[in-house]
Amino acid sequence: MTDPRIRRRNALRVAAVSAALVLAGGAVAGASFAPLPEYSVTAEGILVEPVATTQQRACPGPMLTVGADGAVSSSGTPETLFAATSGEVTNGSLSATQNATGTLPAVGALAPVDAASQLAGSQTETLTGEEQAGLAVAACQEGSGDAWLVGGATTTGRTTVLTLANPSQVPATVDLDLYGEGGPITAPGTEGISVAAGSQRVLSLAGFAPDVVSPVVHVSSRGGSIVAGLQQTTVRALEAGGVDHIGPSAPPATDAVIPGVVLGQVAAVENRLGEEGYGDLSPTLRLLATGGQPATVSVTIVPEDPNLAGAVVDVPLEAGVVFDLPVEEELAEGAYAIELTADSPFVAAMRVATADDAGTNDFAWTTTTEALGDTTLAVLAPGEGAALRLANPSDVAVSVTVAGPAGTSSIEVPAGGAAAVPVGASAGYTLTGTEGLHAAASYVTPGQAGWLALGRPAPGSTPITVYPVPR
Amino acid sequence: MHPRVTAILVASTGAGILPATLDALAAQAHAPDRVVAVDVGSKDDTRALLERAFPGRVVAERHELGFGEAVMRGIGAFDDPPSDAEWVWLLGHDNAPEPGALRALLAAVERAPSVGVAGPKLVHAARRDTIASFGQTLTRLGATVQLVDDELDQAQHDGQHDVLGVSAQGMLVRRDLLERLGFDPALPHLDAGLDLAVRARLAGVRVVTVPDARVVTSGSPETFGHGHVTPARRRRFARTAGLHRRLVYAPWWAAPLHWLSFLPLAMARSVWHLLRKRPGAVPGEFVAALVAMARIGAVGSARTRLRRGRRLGWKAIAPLRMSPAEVRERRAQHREAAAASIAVEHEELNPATFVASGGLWTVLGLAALSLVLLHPLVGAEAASGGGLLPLAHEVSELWRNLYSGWRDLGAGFTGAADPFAWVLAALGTLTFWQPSLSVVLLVLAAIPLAGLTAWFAVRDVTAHRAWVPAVGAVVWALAPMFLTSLSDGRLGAVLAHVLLPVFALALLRAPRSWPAAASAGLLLAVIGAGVPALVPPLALAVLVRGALHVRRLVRVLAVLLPVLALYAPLAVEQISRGTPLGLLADPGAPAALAPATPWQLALGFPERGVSGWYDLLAGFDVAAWTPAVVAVTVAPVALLALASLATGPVRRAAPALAVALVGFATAVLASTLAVAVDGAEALPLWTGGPLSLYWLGMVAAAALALDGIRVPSALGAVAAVGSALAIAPVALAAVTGAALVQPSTPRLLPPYVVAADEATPGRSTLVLQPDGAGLATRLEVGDGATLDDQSTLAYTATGTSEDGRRLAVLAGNLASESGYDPSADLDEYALSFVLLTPGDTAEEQAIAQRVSDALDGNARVTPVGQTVRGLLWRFPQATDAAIAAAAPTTLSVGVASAQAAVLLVTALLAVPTSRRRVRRVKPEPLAPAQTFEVEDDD
Repeated sequence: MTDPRIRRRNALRVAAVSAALVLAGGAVAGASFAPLPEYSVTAEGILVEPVATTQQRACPGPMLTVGADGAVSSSGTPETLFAATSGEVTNGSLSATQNATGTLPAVGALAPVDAASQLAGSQTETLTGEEQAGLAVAACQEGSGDAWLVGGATTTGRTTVLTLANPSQVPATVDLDLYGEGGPITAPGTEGISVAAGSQRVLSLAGFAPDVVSPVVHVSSRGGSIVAGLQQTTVRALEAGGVDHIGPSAPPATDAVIPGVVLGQVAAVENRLGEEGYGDLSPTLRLLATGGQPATVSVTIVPEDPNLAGAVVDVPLEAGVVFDLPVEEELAEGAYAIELTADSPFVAAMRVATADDAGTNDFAWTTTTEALGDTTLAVLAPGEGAALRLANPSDVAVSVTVAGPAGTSSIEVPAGGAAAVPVGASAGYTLTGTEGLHAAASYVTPGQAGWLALGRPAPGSTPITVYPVPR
Repeated sequence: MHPRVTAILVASTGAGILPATLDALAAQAHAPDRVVAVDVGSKDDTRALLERAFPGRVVAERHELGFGEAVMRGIGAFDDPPSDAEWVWLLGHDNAPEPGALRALLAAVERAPSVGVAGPKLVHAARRDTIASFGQTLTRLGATVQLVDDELDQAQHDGQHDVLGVSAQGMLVRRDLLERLGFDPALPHLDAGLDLAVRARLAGVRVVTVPDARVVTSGSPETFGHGHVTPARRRRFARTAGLHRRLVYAPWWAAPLHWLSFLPLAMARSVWHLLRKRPGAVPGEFVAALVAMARIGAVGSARTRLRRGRRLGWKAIAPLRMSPAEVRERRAQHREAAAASIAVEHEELNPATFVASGGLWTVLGLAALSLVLLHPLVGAEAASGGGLLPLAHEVSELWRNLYSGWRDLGAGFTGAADPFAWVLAALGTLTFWQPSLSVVLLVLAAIPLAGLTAWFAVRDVTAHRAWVPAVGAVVWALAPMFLTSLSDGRLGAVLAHVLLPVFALALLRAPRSWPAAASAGLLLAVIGAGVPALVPPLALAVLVRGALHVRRLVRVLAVLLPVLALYAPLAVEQISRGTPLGLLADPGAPAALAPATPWQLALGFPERGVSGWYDLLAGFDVAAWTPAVVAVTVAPVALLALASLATGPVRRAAPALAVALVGFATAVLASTLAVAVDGAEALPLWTGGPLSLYWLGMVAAAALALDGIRVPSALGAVAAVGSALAIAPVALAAVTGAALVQPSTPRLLPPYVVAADEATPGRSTLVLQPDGAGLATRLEVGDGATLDDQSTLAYTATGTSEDGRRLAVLAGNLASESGYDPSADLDEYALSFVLLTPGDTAEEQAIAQRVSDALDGNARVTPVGQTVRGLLWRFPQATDAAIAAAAPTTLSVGVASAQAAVLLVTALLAVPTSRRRVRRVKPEPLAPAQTFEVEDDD
């Protein structure tokens, strides 16, 4: 027989363990589900409005030719226009360029008026030479320390020139990273390119990367900030095949939009497409995954005219390898916006061509653009067939007011869609309500195509939230 | 014919024993010729008793008087002229003389006419065979020595006659001598009789003891009229009397020097008392010194009295003094007697010994594991990352940071020091040639140290199985919250984990020993300084311990003193500015974290993501079952802990589990609190520290369960292996160098800046760090911010300071294309450099690009180039200004000194100076029934 005292103790111990189990379970459950008092101090940043300073926009200057001996020359003179939302624009130019024959690239300056004052400018140049013919349009840009130039080619008949302008008062040192369809390209001379203050350097891309179908150039600079651009000239056999400036694409991101892609004279282009060497007349999207890892980009082609058909394509990208995607879908003549999303950062641009019935053809590079702020200043240098083209990647339709010399009009940009306002060139337009939109201006007439991006002022002068540590 | 004898009976509230004394007086073989009674402010019916016994011969004194003074009043009441043939017999109300006492005394004085003072053999009232006092003397230095001290009377001292002094009680003294010399009123308690006798000797009169005269005394002799006298109080009386005599006996030219020496001596003797674990004697030491110093008037009159009566030089009495050799001999005897009398404690202890029972091998194994896990840090000069930064380059800077005052963080401000600064100062001093190295060494040694402390703690709470401490050491040293704290650089939590087991042991022993209580106090100070969130639960534990030992409440509560002293200045500041919760903020460099959910906390993991388990399992099929996988590894310890109630001693298991519950609750509460801000992020409290407390309870309970007979031994191995598995992801991250803590140089700013600082010190660097959609900015002075510069006061501030606002505007404009003129800021902050750290996310990289563009385009700064910490720019026309730290104020030096004093006193008390005699008792052979024995937790 068991001693009753021991039996009682055993029972007590069982009860104690059970109570402990219940208590432990209760403690964890209670802590998990009971509302606990929470206390958190709040981190308050200080929104700092930078003191307004002189703004500058530098244009790429005339279309250039780099001779076999490295001599740089130009044949035409661009027409340039600057405007500001308030204040007086001072028209000037860089003080030096390697171009021995032509005019200096124009620089517009705006003395500080108020923090919101915007400055913009653009240039157009129509060339009619034997080798260089067509319309070249470019936005005049603010300098930056980091730019991705997506476009150009250095195969037979295609020349691409890299321009590096330093409108600042500090000398700049530029490093180039080159990518092609074979992956990253290493070449001597791409590091430590010095650009004196107020001057423009001109480099032939073929010197670094000959015979590359789809180059992408990453320009990073220390010291003064740089306005970088590419200029492509195409000559097929003896026939001039168009000219264009290629401005920087939006910085690498997982979402991007190319607004204002105009497919003009599709039938005329089709006519010439079949000929030997004319393959690059077909619309082509150039993509590069920059994040050091592969990416899958989903491409959505959104027509401005809701009656037209769009298209959706998924493109797998290898890291660091440029991929040219020929847009083979049967797209009707018209204007489109390209919306891209990916699982890893990438950069993109698209080349479109046009032609006239005589077969004269020209191309334009359209790039991804940065999302706009609420107010956007669009300045269109003289040219024909100009239109402001807006794309709205958001889920909400947006109404934009366009104020120009001809008065004020309003336009609805549908959710996930695009819209256009035909405008007269040689004028500045103030667009309000453009928050989150992407916009470009296109100059398309039969046989001539040009395109320029409308951007928000570079983030360098926007307010920034600063957290002093410790407070 | 016998000479005339007058007995003076002094009574003070002694109605209880007075009748016995009166009877004894009446029963004298030779009765005194007359009796004069002096009643000194009695509060009972003593006076009535005296009146009845000696009607008309009672002198009533309202005020409290010392024995000597009361006697003098009694003599004053005599109406006849003094005669040299009359003797006075001095008795207190407790001094019942044995019948032959007076006869023996008289016989002695009649036999030798040179004798002027005779003292009886004072025996204890309760033990009449024990001598309380039988003659006194002085050492060469003037300290009083009882010639016979609490010795059994076996007639061994009956041969001794001539002495330097005798106790005033029972003393027979010639009346004219007494009236001429008089008792010194400044010696009310002790030494009155001795002093009188010394002066009698100097007057050329002999002082003898009379062995056949036996007089009883209750209580200690000569603290007459004070009822129960505590040892501390008696010590104070003795010291006061000794110092007074020193001033009186000294040559005139030496007296002022003695007077000046009293306070320094009191200081030195206090240190000695603390080392002897007598903190209670310290106040008395100072009181005695001050009282003796204040009684200059009494010293003057005493010196006059001495001079008047003196006939012989001091040399004449020198042979009666005790020689130094004899003093040493007596001390040695006392020590032996004391050691023999200490009760041997019988404790049932675990038979494990450190070397033989695997403790050493466990710790060595853990040390090897630690070197493997943390191999990136081996040989590093400093470590940084997470909550760690290098320490200041100079040890002196570490100690300067202890002051409340100028805090060299950012633009600098005035405020209280973090208690952790004391820990860092002590730590950095260990490797004074390179303070940062101490942090590296601590991190490397933390795992084996934790095993070591846990081994001894577990051994002391268990009783049977010698291998249980080793299991406890492994489970404790490989605890998930500990490893996570290590790899995240939470130095305070690491220290807390290492020290918690010894703190628990010390707290358990605190009621019984001063060294244990003081050690617990110091350990609590370090733990509390490192993990402020642990102060409330540990204070609660101390209070509970105190409530269970009310008789030792003061000693247990003293455990709280050091931590309270360290926190006092910070608490005053935090509370007065309205951010009391800021006291809980983790010290060290601010480091972001996502606190774990309650179930993750219950598994012992402080961070969401379970310290890498989610990442580790992400690629496998079991990813969805991550919590279950982790739970399995921790389950053995948890189940054993719960089972301790069934198999272990409940008296110990229940408190252990209660500690676990309190620790868990603290961790859960800590996870909901974010009291500090770093840039754009609020910083939740680090739950690793509270979780260590939780784990302490769990490991203790599990060890108790394993110690029980019915638990299979294999479970111990299972628990150890389980804990080792639980830390697999943290261990992997550490081995592959992915831990937040990384080896670094002792200075974190780029070498260019450090070199410039060596050339022109005091310049500052503005650090811009992309933070989310914004920009965090901090000012680093000189060669960069260090761990000891950090201040929770700064990170818990609400609202932005004037400097913060100004620096934000400066940083915002430097980060933009801006027309801002920074010249004034350059002067104000002695700004020389701007450092831009790279961003982590795409958003932060865009901000970094913007800032770098803006600075590149800014003609006011010159780019220096890419450095290890980011891009660096320089202001070419840096000003001559330099940020100078404000000197500490008198108040802050005083506060820091007071804090240091508390720590020093505690440290002195903590130094073990006497061996505790613990006899190990082998537990009886294990029998099933024994596991049901309820054991005491002491």
